[in-house]
Amino acid sequence: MNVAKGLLRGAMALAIAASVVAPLGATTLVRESLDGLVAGNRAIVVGEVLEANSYWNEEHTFILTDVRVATREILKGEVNQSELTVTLMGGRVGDITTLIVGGAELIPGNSYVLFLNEENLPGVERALTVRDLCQGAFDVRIGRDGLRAVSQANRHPLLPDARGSFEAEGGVEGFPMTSMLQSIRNMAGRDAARREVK
Amino acid sequence: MNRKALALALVAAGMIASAPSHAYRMIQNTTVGRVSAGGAVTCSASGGFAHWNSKNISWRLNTANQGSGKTTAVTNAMNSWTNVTSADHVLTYAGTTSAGWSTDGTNTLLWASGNGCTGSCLALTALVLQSGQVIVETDVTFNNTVTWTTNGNNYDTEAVTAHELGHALGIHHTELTSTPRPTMYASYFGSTGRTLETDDRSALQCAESRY
Repeated sequence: MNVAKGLLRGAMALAIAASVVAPLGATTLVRESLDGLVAGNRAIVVGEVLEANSYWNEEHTFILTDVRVATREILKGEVNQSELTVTLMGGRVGDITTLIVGGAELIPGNSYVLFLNEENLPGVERALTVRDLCQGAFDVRIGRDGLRAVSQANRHPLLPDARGSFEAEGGVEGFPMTSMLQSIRNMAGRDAARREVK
Repeated sequence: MNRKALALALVAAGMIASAPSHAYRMIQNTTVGRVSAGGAVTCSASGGFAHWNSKNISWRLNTANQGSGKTTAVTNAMNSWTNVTSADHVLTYAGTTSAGWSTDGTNTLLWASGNGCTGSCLALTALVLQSGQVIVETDVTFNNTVTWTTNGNNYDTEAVTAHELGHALGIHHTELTSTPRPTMYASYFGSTGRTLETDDRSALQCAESRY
């Protein structure tokens, strides 16, 4: 009886998984570890998106989106403002949409852990952006055990890193927020100490 | 109870067995005044998917950086999609260009250090859509800081180009994980990705059904 129930549960779970799993994204990304994200980005913040505004760049060659973020917590970097503007490639202006496959998706009203760096985007030099695309944005969600940070890369299959790992950092369940933020602070502090020693 | 459990198990097994041999997905634009990564949907999804309004699409190659010497590789990748007999798409190599990562009416393949594809990004595809999810332009930027080859070693230009061109045609990653892996399999799996499989061909047929 119990074996049959177990088999049933297993088969149903497999069937459901087979019918609903839908990987998203399309660009080709190699998996980045949390350590790598911390080291490779200038600023890391927890913030809430206030608004997003898409526009053509000055040369009218590319649609960009400025995302206004209210910073709740600064984990790395000299970020003094209570608000940041993060520029992302793509967006919608009138009838035209530029869709960046595999990009970070920041929706007004939602909170995120964001890994930010200054990069050259079309027509904008040294724009503060989510350099690692979907890997650099973690959705803040309420889990059974409190807040969790879930990588947007779970919606985008990754190429394995040097260790052969291809699961997005934190997996589909994400990291418990408190421990993730502490880990980031530790990693950022260690990187800063290394720089001082050099 | 045992009989009921067995019956339910059979239903579940049936669901697995009846899973379509084609597991391709198409890219649906979910953008509303903001950035979107695009959703993965079936061919019959009510919201439709990104698609071209023409079967004849041409790309140009920017030969700057590692774009040099890649003409044959990108042409072969285009031919792979053109040669699908169950669909009438014709992808054409239209020569070289100095165009870059910009919305300029030219479908461009280029190698650059930047363009929002740095760090862990190997290649990035942008789709420019008009209303009705009609694709009017696509550009693919390859990360120039990694090594791109034409001899089958990592990273194989032809295989990745064939994959990215699939996205440029509105095709998302397939859910099929069995071998031989479709070109639209989610991860890079070497130069065997150059060859389209049945699932890829079905996806192209689906794209064509939107015309």
